[in-house]
Amino acid sequence: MDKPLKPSEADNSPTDGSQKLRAQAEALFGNRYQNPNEDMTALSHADVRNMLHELRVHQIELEMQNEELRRIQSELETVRAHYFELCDLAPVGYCTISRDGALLQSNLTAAAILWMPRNELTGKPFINFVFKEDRDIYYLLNRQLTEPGATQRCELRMIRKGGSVVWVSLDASVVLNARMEPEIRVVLTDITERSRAQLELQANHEKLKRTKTELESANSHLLHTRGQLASFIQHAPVSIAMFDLEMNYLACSDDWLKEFGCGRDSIIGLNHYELHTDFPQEWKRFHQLGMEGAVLRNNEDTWVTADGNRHWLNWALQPWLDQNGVIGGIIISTDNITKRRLAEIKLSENERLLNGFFESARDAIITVNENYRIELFNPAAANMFGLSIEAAIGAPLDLIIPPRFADSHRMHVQEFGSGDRQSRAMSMANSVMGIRADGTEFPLEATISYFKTAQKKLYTVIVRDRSLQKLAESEIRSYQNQLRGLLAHQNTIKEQERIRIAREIHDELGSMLTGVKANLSVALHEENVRGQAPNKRLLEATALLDSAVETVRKVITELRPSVLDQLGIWAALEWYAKQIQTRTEIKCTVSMDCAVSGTALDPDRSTALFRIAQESLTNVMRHAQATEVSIRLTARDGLICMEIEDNGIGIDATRTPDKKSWGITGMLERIQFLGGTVAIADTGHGTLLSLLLPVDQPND
Amino acid sequence: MTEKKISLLLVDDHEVVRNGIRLMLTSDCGIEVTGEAATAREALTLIREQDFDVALVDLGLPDKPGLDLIKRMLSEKPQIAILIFSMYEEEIYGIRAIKLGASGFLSKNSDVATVVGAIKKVADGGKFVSPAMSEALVNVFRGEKTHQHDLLTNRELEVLRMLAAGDALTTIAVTLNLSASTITTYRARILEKTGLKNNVQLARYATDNHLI
Repeated sequence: MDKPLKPSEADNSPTDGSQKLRAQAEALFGNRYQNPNEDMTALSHADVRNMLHELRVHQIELEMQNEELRRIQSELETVRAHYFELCDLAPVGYCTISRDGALLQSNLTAAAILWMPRNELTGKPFINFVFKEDRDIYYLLNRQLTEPGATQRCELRMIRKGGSVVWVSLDASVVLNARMEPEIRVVLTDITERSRAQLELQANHEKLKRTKTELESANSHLLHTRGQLASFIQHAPVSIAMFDLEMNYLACSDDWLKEFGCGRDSIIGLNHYELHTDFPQEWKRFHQLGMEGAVLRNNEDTWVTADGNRHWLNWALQPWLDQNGVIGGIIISTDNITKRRLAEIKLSENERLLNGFFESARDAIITVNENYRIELFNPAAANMFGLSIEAAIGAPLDLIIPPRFADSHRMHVQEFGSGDRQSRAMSMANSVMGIRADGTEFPLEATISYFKTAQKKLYTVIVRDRSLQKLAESEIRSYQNQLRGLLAHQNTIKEQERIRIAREIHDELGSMLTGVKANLSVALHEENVRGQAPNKRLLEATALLDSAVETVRKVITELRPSVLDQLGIWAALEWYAKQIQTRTEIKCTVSMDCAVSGTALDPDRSTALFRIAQESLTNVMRHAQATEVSIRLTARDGLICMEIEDNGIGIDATRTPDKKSWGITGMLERIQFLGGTVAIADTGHGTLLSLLLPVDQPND
Repeated sequence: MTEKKISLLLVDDHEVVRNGIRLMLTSDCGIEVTGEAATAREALTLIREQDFDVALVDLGLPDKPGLDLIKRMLSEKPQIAILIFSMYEEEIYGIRAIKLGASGFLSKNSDVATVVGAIKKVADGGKFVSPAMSEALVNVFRGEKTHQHDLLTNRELEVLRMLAAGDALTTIAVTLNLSASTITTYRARILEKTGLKNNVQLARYATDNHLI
């Protein structure tokens, strides 16, 4: 487009114009008609007249054309002004931008969009007005506008005068100007409003979405809550039901269904009165009262069913309101207390019975609460402790326990009552002491039990006076100890006596026999040296002497094997086993670990162990019908363990009430006196004697 | 006789016995009793004072067991030949005496020839072995080995075999008609007695000792 022209600028004066045109026309005429061949003089008068006529017509024609042109021009001027106006006042901004990016022209709207006077825009690079961060968009667009006719559209922010930002939509196309150079024609539309609207729309959309999600979640929560509520009602551990105004079931708990459902799976929708015909008539009145807004309750109602059984019920009734606050029906909750009532009736009977027992019992019965104070104290207790019942009730249990035991007893009781168990019983037979009102102490035997009720923990102690029993027991124990000591003493004496006799025989008789033997032997030797036949008497005497020595040796060994004193218990046991094997058909083996063979045993224990082994092996030989017997010795933790096992007929078969059991008793006593234990067991294929003997413990 | 006489120390607390021996030895001029002691203490004093070729020692001395005396005497006089002279059983004491360094064991009711022969034999550096004792000695050298499992009861041995064979605890319990916990107790006792630590060692032990 050319420079905008105003209609006034094109308005030349007619005179100047016609003179100029006349001069131009003359010049043109000169050029066109200077043909030498054209002879104007040769023209006739008629020709001239015709020509003149023609020329005048032409002139008129031209004048008319000129007039027409003027009119058209003026019309055009008007249209053009109109267009300019339209252009400037267009609702969109127009700009022309040169290829190098300078703003060439812009309409008023474009200037208005950027809040700038038009003259400040012209010549400036368009990019200056593009918001910095959106310049890339523009560059991209610019690059895509390569040839005339190409159009591109984008949206970007532009900077207004003063620095504020405006959102515009930018339609660009390439056109060729009058000089046939490409220019960019841009249409700018202010879309700030649109963008804001869009943003708002988007925000609204988001909000909507959020609201929808919230709604959904609320809905699901509601469903969940409703499910929970339904489940809550169903599984509530009470009997509860909800009715509408006609007493139709809306909801009920399982307990209700079980109790009043007449065996049906569901009673929702059914009518209460049709379901139950045997309920008291007055209940209908209560229901009616509930529908009218009353809240009713009865802790113990009773009715008799058709089968004649009495039932007890604890019930509560109240109306429920719908969302409009109008009574929609009633809710009834009941508690069948029939069982409890029956139990209570029975309990009161039991109580009477118990009370009688409590009052007349010979044992002292004392109940203590968790604060350690006496709650119950029966007459026997009063008698035993020399207290009045009135004095005992409410007093701490310490009243009847010697002060030195009080603390430990209290702890004991607390420990006993700890834990979750409902009840527990325990005997305290060992050295529990009680104290009477007069300060005397006495041993007692107590059985303590405790039980928890909902409110408290109670300990009941049943006490028996053991003074006499204790005395008798301690006497028996003392006699037992005396007896055991006596027996041990007797054994020791016996053993010492045996040692003494064996020694005597060995020393006195033995050496004398040796002397005799020497003499006899020498006598025979001398005869032999002299070449005489040996004296038969002497030979006979020698033979007798040998057998005498043999007998003496046997007697000594039987009294007290020398090996026990000379080589110790372990060698003695090995020797004895070998003896058994030689004397009988029984295979007898001894095995011991190093710990045993390294243990030195004192004479008392050595003797005891040896004698027990001897006794046991004698039993095996006599009764067990065994073919094998093994003696196993192990030592650990200061204990010697001796096991003697045979493969005979077993202990039950061989047990006889006579000597055998005396032998066993003797063994037990001997070992017990030394602090050990003996067990004899039938293994199913023989007998096993297991002995444990402490080696480091001095005997008394 | 140009040969040196065997000097003999008699150790016995009974004079009757000492006299008897001396009587027996009069028949042979090759042996001379050069010392007599009634107690172990006297015997030790004597051998410190004079040399003896052979000592005839009673086991039942009042102050010290005869076996202990052997060691003491040999530590004083390593060359001395000790012949135990006792009424006690040769089979018990014989081997032990010889193990302790004695040269022989002589029963107290031996005749002259045996006594003289024994003394001469040990004086020559030999050992005097009675037929009964030689048998016992053979047994010693044959070495009757003892086993750890000799300590087990028959039941325990049975359980050991089954464990070693790889039987499960419950299987063993069913087979032996016992509770599983009893079997566990047996197992613990077996391990303790044998000094083994686990079932693998147990199985190996059983195999090595031909128990399975």
